[in-house]
Amino acid sequence: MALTVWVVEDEWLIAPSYDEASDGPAVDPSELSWTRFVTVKNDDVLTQPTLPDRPVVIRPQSPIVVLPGRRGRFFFSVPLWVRFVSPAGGRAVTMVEIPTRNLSSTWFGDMETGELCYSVDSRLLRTMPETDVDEAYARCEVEIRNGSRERLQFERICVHVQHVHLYEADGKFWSNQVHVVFKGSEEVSQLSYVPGPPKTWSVAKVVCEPREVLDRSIFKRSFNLIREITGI
Amino acid sequence: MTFLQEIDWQNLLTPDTIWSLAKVLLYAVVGMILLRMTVVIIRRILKRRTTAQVAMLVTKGINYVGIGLIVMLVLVELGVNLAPILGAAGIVGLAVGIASQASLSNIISGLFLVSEKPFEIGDVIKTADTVGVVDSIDLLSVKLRTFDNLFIRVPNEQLANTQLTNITRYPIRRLDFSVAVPYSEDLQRVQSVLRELAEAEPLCLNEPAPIVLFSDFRDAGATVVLGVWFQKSDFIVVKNRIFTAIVARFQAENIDIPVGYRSLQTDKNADPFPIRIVNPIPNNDDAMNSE
Repeated sequence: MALTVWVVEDEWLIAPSYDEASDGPAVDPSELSWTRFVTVKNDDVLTQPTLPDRPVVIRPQSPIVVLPGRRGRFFFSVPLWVRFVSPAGGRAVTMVEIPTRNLSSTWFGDMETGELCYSVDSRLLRTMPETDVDEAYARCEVEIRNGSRERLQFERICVHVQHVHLYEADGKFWSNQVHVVFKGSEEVSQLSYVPGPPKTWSVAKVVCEPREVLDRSIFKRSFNLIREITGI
Repeated sequence: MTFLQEIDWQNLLTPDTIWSLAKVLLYAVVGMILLRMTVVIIRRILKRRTTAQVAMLVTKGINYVGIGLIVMLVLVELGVNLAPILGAAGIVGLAVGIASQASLSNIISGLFLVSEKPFEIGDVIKTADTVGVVDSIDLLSVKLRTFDNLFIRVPNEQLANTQLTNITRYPIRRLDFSVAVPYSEDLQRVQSVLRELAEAEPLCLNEPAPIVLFSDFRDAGATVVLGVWFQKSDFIVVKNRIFTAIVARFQAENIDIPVGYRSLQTDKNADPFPIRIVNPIPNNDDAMNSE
């Protein structure tokens, strides 16, 4: 992806270009849809990596079954977004957020109460490879524990990335670990976000706070979320 | 002598009268201010806790009752005996009620509409031949604004008794595109081309997946339906993009869209169509010679 940015005096002109074949300004600028941002003169604009603004849905290549009493850790990667921030006057203001990949939309849940998500073209792995992950992706880890007496089978996972922190170390990005305890299709399930970066990346620093802070009604929300996560 | 000169101002403008008038003014002004504040506070509370139409009905009801109370307070202060007025109001109310059965029916239908909630303010609904955005739900009628910016008033009773479609009730919806393809085309290829163009459109949802359905045998060819799911707010963009994508992709793939075509074929075992020329068309030389 080539993200082209033009600066004109006290205005910033920003236009994304998703032509994979092109490398930078080879794209004809007149064909792009530009947005003009009025800032103060000679203002520095900061860029910040961030996670998508909607939940992401990952579809494993084949259905996954977590047997009763077992737990499994899964890894996947999510395309990052770039946030343009104007820090003028001591008050940082977000100008625009642009995905680094053109993400397609998908629906998760039933027709009435489901939610709009992004479909992420990522494999669901049992181990995260050190290489083979694009720099513009964040690595995420989900641990699913089946605390019920029934099989947990799912074909899609929906992860609410709006609730997680984004960490960075050595140019690699990680999110919080997400824990899900499945207690049965008819029971309230528990969902939690482990604070801090993954253990193997303890030196990582926070580069982006969560978009939404999870409220106190964790059990009520997790009941909804587990239905969305498991798709059952 | 004019009318104003006939008035005995000295006896009329006594301190008691002036005080009474001041109290009337005070009741009216303070009453209206308090009523206005109450309505604003209740509207804010209801806005968070209930739907827009319930909030509107409740605040309107409070407004009407409040104005009635203020008027009665002012009349009492002016020394008007309310008993005959209220008695007369009862009789008048009965007479008006009998005379306005249609209005009462609309009010009751409106209450049913509010309790059943088939639509809310801001929804796009279709009733009879009218499609529009719900602007307000009032005691007697529902006000719609059509997409060509016309104002339409639909009586509540009519809405309660007829079929109504709420187009924007659910967050996502499906749009079907019907297109005919000649029987000579490879239908499997048509199916995969349609599926590919739907998957390439970012506004179309991956899940629920686009559907491709061969629906009918027509004179012009086989009818194939492409159904794509999208967010309700993207209706116009998706409709235009998919329509143009179908035409462009079919042209690129050399797939005909047989509009106005009619293919005539004989049975495999039948003889060819017998053709007999009844009136031969004269060529140019014959036409010249005849002149």
